[in-house]
Amino acid sequence: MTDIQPPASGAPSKPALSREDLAARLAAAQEREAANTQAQERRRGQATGVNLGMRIGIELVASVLVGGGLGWFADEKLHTKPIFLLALLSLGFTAGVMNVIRIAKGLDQSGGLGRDGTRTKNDVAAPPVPADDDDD
Amino acid sequence: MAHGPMEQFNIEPLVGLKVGGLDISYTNSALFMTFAVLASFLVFFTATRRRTMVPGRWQSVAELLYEFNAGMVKDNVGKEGLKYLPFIFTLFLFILFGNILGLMPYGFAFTSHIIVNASLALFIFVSVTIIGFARHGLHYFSLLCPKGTPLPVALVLVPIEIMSYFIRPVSLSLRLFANMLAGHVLLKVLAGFVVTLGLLFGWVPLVAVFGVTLLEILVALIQAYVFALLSCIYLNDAIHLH
Amino acid sequence: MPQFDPTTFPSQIFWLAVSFIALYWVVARLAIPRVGEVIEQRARLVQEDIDRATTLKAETDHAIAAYEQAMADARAQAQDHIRGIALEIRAVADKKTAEVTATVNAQITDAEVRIAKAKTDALAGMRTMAAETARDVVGKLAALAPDAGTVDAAVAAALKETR
Repeated sequence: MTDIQPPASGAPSKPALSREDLAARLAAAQEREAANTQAQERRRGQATGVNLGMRIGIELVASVLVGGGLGWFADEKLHTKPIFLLALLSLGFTAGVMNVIRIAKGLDQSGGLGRDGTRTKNDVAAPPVPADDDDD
Repeated sequence: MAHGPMEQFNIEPLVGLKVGGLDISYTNSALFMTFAVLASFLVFFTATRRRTMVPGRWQSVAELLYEFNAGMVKDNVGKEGLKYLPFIFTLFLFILFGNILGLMPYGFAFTSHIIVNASLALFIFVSVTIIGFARHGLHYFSLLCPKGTPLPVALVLVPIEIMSYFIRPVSLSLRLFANMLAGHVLLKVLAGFVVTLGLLFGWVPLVAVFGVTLLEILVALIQAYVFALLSCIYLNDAIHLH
Repeated sequence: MPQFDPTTFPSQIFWLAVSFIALYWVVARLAIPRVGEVIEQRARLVQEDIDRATTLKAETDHAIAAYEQAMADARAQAQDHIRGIALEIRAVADKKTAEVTATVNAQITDAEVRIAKAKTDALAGMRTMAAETARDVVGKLAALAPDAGTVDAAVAAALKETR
């Protein structure tokens, strides 16, 4: 008197399998959607070493130019011939060197202004961690 | 090809125009600015004529540009910065197309003229300063001195930071200018070698020209990006102070 | 260097301003609204699709659970039914067995009774036979005619002894 076993273990197993598959795909889709919004914000160009060198050079040149220019202008107006030129030139040079250090440390794009360390790898152009974007 | 490497930067008036003693002739530089505007317009017009859920080639380009800029502004300035997105986007497109059109044969790169870059940088500098003072009043000066700096350090630091602040527009414009200038001069000199070395050895610099051109396309993109990115960062300083 | 020729500056600045404003107009009026719209719409669509898929999947899960429940119920019911029938059958069989056993037992008892009766009958017959034989034997041998009572008692005694 064996009871007529309904194919209980057989029949629902097939839909169950594709159901798990669907669940996995759904989860993947949701994850992808969430990741997408984040990835969009991370996707960005990475500067080359040449570019970094160029930036450092420009920063130095610009700072000396600004210092020299302002100093020369002040001397012209105030008739204090070499005083402002020398003072602002050295100040400009100092500022330039500081900016270069900041760029080299990858800390800041803007040339500092008290924001050292607050913005680190968020910014690009100076990449101390170039492989960072690969893992996400 | 017998021209010097600097002649490619000559400004040639195409339509003479004088207003109040100022020469504002329509020049080759102005022509390529017009091209840059038209190119941007065409890209976005054709790309968005049929807006489809699955984007075509041009729509993809347009979306990529948009998301790139929107992401840059959002990342660096935050949600409040999005109202400046049109400006940053315009800046990016203008410089990008200016750089790339300059690389075309017979092209003219208006970004290789310091006055153009300086005008843009100065405009950004002034606007950012105005935004900063409008939002924070005199408190904006605290940008020049981090909180908690001891007085003797501040005495040294503040002049340097003031100098840094004024260096911003100069380095911003100079960077773009120097990159474009160097690239174009290099290409021109290499192209000159192709001619002088003739058929026998001319292929060596020709390969170099090809490589440098590819590199310059990359530089064109990076420089447009850096210019826009730094504008974003300056804007962020003005909006969020610290 | 043509870059440092100030006579070209007004023209460059002027056309820069004009084209920049034109481009700003293109970006603000055309590019950003249109592209932003399509991107937002797509994000919304994808989110909607995912949401719908999630609800549909939940519904499917629900339906499958219900189906499995129904299946289990039906199986349990069938099992019950089968068990009931088996019990019934066993009861009937037991009853039949009991009946048969009862009949057989009755027959056995009957037979035993009959055998016992036959045995007593036989014993009784044997006693009379033995008494007659004894009387005959005694009459013939001893020419005596013992009375029936004595013979019967003697037979009974003998039977008791042999037993």
